[in-house]
Amino acid sequence: MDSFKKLLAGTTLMIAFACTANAQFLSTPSSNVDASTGVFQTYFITDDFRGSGVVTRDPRLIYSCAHVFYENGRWSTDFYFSRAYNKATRPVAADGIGPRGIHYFTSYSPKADEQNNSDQTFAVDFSIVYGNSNFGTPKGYFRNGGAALTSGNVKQIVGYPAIIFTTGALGGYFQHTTGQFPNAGEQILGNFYEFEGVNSGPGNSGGPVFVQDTASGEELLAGILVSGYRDRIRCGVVAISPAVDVLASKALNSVSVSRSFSNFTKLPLPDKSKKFSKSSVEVSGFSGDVIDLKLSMSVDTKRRGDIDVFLKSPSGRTRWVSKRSGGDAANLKIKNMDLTKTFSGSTASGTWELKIRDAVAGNKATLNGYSLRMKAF
Amino acid sequence: MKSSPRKLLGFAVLFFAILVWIFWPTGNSSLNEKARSEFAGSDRAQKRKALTEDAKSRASLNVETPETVPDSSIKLLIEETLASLLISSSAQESAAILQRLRDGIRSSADEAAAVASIVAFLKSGQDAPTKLPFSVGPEGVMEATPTLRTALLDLMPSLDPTAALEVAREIMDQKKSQDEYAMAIRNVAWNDLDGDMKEELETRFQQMLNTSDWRKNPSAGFLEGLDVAVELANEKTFATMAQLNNEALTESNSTLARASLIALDRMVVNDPAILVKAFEDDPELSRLAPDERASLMSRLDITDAAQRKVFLSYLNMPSHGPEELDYFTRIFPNGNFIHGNWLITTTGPSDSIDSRFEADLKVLDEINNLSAGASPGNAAQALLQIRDRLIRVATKTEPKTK
Repeated sequence: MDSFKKLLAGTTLMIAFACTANAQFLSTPSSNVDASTGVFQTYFITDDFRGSGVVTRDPRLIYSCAHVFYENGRWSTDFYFSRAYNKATRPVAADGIGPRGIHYFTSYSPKADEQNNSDQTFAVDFSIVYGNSNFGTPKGYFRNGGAALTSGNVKQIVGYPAIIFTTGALGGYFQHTTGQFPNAGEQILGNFYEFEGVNSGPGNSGGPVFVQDTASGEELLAGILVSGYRDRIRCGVVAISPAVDVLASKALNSVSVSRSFSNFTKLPLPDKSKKFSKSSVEVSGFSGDVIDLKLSMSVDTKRRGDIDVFLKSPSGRTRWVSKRSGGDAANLKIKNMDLTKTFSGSTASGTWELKIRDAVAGNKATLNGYSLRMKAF
Repeated sequence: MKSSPRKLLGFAVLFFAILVWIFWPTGNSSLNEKARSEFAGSDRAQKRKALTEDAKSRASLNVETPETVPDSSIKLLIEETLASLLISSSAQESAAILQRLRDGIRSSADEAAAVASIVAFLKSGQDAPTKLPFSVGPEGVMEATPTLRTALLDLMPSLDPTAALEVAREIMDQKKSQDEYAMAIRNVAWNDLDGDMKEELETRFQQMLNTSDWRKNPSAGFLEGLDVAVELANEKTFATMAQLNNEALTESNSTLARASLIALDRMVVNDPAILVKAFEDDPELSRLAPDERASLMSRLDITDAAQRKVFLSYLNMPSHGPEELDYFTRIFPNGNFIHGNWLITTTGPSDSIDSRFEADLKVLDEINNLSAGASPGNAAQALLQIRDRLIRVATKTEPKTK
């Protein structure tokens, strides 16, 4: 809440409407209002909460930024989303729908809760707001918005700025747009991009950044406006990413898929080796993250306690499977070892590696093979 | 093959970088001292000097270099990376330099030799800043690292977890850098198999929290390191984090307060029994400030008998002020979830829209039952407010278009 007081007082810069270096900010006539976008407003504490959002993927989901909904350890409460609102006067609760909850992205960065313009602050500044109700017709979106943002395709930012920086005029509660601009975004860090030549102003946090799809010619959601500069014509955008899609899938309880992948090529292990031998499987057919993972494997050895084994995900996360455990017992056989706790949320598709070594001299060992039983989006 | 001007320019830049690296003043020779004094006015010389002094201070890193002979090509790659980072002019340039390093190490034919090269470099105490933040990516693998050393620490577990653990222990014993400590404690946690690292993890975590300078000015790495609490997930750690949160609020250390509350919240979402036990031990949850207490209590699931008992005790406690109860009634049952890229743990459970809707209806039933038997007072009033809100959010509404 405080952030919005700050915003409206003009001490911070958030959200924006955008314009190209040569364009003036335009107030969109109501006849052209984009029905997928709307304004968030709270009724708990007068007029100090304001943000924008867009109905995307499903009628029950609104994509917006994170800093609108959580600050200094407090969740925003009693807020409403008024779709396609376009008036000079503030909407009342009856004009909107109260969402049920928020899926809020954050990091532990020291700047994560600051209201200034920083790639660290805004790099993960994204939220999905959900409800039982139908918020409106969902807008189409790019699953990987980063590529669209950096393209030369036509773009447009929409939202509800309280103040228009370039003119100093008040934005009222009209839906605004930058009009179309071709500027290519610059990747700053991860999913955070900045646009030079596109201005920002307070009150438009969470506004959608649409990019024209080359194939269909349709404007699709590619990112969410999260930051801007008061003294520069530049603004920050978080790109829609596959991780966002996974989160939305979880909210929607989308269907997940189970598949098994295996490598049963026998791999003799060098005796007393510091070097790990690798056996990999190519996992494919998933568009999202792991929600369940089980490993089965078999090693022939006279002494199980000689063997080190760990699994590595495509991104580089590792997890021990056996650390020279089992002492003098022969052979290492594992059936359906549950690795979900470690790899839940890991990108499923890609190269998974089982890394194994016989670390102790004296016995020969062979990896017979292994399989991964994976459930993922 | 025809060489393009761009390619020639690339070779020239590389050649220049190698020259800079070869002739850059290092060590203690008088020639180097002279060279250093000649550049004393430049930022670069100061940076270099600071790094050299830093290197000296780290020289006691006593990790035993593996018997494996270091891979000379990886050794050269790390040295080139160091030189390039020292003259890098932007975060983007540094990110590209580090990516080449990662690609080179990952494609090494002999990973054991690559590890030996990394350990030897870490042992030397050398380092270079990257102008990048400490940024955790998916699965706890770093998206960006502030120094070359933290980048190498990030890579080690995927090459050899055992060597990564040995290096981590040395770094944590020295406690010279918050961000390095965070990478090291992550590598300890990643070494766990069936709880065998838990005791050491708890000790190392306490050691990190006990470092008052770090608590006062926590780096991003320190804050990300609080994820150890979520990994440990026990009552003792809950109490420690509650205390840390309280101290941070008292000292107006907002970043630490925020990060510790997120860790507490995630602990409770993953396992509400931790909160129930903490409440049984201290019904006032006196280590927590009002908003923080309300926020955590809003996670209770009152369809569970033990949690319902705590819920009722909390509502009937006269010591909680009206503001705390008001905030509580506006968020209970809490359907908000915090997500992120965590250093050690993975994202915890969260509701789907349908499951939340069903849960809300069950909670509404419980609230109706409790309201029927409630004596007039603050608790009864709170139950009514919760009921009204639940009726509202559990009702489907169609949008209005203006």
